[in-house]
Amino acid sequence: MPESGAARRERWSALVVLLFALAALVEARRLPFGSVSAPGAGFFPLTLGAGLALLGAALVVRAFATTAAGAAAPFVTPSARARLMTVMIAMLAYAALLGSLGFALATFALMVVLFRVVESHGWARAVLESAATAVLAHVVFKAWLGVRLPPGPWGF
Amino acid sequence: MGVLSVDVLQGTVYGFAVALQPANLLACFVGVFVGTLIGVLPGLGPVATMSLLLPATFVMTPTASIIMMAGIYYGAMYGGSTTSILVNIPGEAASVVTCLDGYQMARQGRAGPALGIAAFGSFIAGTLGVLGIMLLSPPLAAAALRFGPPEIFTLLLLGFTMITYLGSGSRLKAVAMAFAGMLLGTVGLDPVTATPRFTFDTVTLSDGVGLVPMIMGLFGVTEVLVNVEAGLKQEVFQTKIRHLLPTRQDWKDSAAPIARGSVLGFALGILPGVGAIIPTFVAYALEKRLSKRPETFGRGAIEGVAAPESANNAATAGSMIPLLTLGIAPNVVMAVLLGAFLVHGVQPGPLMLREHPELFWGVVASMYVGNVLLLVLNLPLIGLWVQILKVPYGLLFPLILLVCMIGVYGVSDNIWDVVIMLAFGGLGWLMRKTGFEAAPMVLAFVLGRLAEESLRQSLLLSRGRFAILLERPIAAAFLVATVVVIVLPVALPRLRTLLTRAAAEAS
Repeated sequence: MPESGAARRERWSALVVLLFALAALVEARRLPFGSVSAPGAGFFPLTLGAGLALLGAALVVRAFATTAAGAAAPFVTPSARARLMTVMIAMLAYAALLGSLGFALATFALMVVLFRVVESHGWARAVLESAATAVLAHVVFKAWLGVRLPPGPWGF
Repeated sequence: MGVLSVDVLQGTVYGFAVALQPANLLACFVGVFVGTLIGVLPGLGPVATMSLLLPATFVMTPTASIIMMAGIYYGAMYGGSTTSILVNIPGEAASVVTCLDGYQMARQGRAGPALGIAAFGSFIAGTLGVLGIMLLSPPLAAAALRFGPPEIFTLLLLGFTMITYLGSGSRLKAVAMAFAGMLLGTVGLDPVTATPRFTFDTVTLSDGVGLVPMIMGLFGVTEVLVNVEAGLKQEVFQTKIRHLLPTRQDWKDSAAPIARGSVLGFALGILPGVGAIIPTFVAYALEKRLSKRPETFGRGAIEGVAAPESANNAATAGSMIPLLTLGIAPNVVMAVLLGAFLVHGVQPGPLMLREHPELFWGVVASMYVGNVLLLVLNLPLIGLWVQILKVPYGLLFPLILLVCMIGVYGVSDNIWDVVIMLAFGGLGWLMRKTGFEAAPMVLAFVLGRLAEESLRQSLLLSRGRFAILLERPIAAAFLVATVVVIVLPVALPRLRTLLTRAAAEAS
């Protein structure tokens, strides 16, 4: 029987919750539990981890017990996936390069990617919009509001 | 009673003196202006905006900061209705219901009265809400002064239960998210013994998971990702906006819905976990049931705009009460506001009224001032907000992302917090896809530390006997209420079927 996208989604998410809980339990067991009359650092996390593990198990059982019928809608369409991946990777790269490129330059690069690739603006327009954004952000946040943002090798 | 009202009167006068100081008035104006702006813009809500502006308040006094933060919240309630009416997508989640009749009114050429009644209804509800805060807070704070750890823990338990009960999706998932949120809250140094927990020997995590990166990720970045995926396109309904002032007939139709929406919204808003969204649905359903012409609902009934718009504004006022008197955040927005208080070294709660009267009365009075400002901002300046609606989302979302990253980095000066925000953004997107809600997680995250401390202190007090939670009358009452909240929704339908079956057999 072909399982629907919705059912598969339920199962995967339930398993992830259960795994997260088990990982938390393993980690919490290494903390001092104390005693019920003088609870230690591990008391609360361990209780929570056990509770979440039970909940996760219940979710798993429920997800595998019900065979939800429904249209096999894709989790995410290919074009949307490409857009989302670009956004996430661009932002992670921004976080990684902010220190070495400096705020203004890194921001300019990030904005070019977002405007050009994700929103498919033309090159000239994307570069112009990005430059404007970078300058504006620099003026507003760094100069005006005084947010500490890293300067690059050229001082901006 | 007489003494009380004198106190309230004095407090009110004092509060207005504080709220009308130039710096505080400016903070109030900036707050409601920004609030309206982000309320109008879909995809950027009060939660993300308030956490975003948190670092900007470092240079302000605590009073001015909280005045501005609160202004963003209720300002967003005003702004959200504009987008609902003109574009048929909610500018803010609490304005979803307003789309139903508001957009229909706009299509019938009655955008003006719809916008007008939304603003007036919000104003009336906001005013009544402020009055409610002033009257209810002092006695509640006085009662809360007698709370010890067992009372606080059982109250939090009640709050958690209601939070999970009032979610829109699966209850089991909501409870799981609350547990996960509390677990995330234990990351960092143990509050009692300073033992590092779940830090994996990193410096970033020894301070715990930051509230700001978490909220910005789950609410700011996630919202952008969802919209980027859907390729959000908005079309402003092309219409001339005339006659913002509702007619006599409009007023006649809306007066009672506004009154009922205000009372309902305020009362529901006080309860933990309710927020501003649920009261709008309840108010709309109530008006439809009470109406002599329920068939007009969904086809441009002005009551369908007046009631929910009043309800969401009254609810924002109601939700301030648990925060101001008990120090407990009843919804995610109040959790951010709690964060703002703590950043400025003020612990909201029963003692605040005595220790920081300027803060309590100043903020409450500023909410009245803010509502007046909003009425002025929303009626004559409506054209400005309509122009802002025409900014395409493709231009907007890179800016939202950039501001999120600057905001998070600005709070901590730590690039890892940006990474944590992005991780929560991705997680939030996956959660949306799989029907897990972020709100219970964030609330449990915020309240978890207090819950742990109060439970551990209770057990220390009682030398390990959980019975202490039942032996103290107030704590026992909270516990009983918790059980009722858990049992009632399960028992009620069964009871009904049992009764109907019995009745059928008897006849």
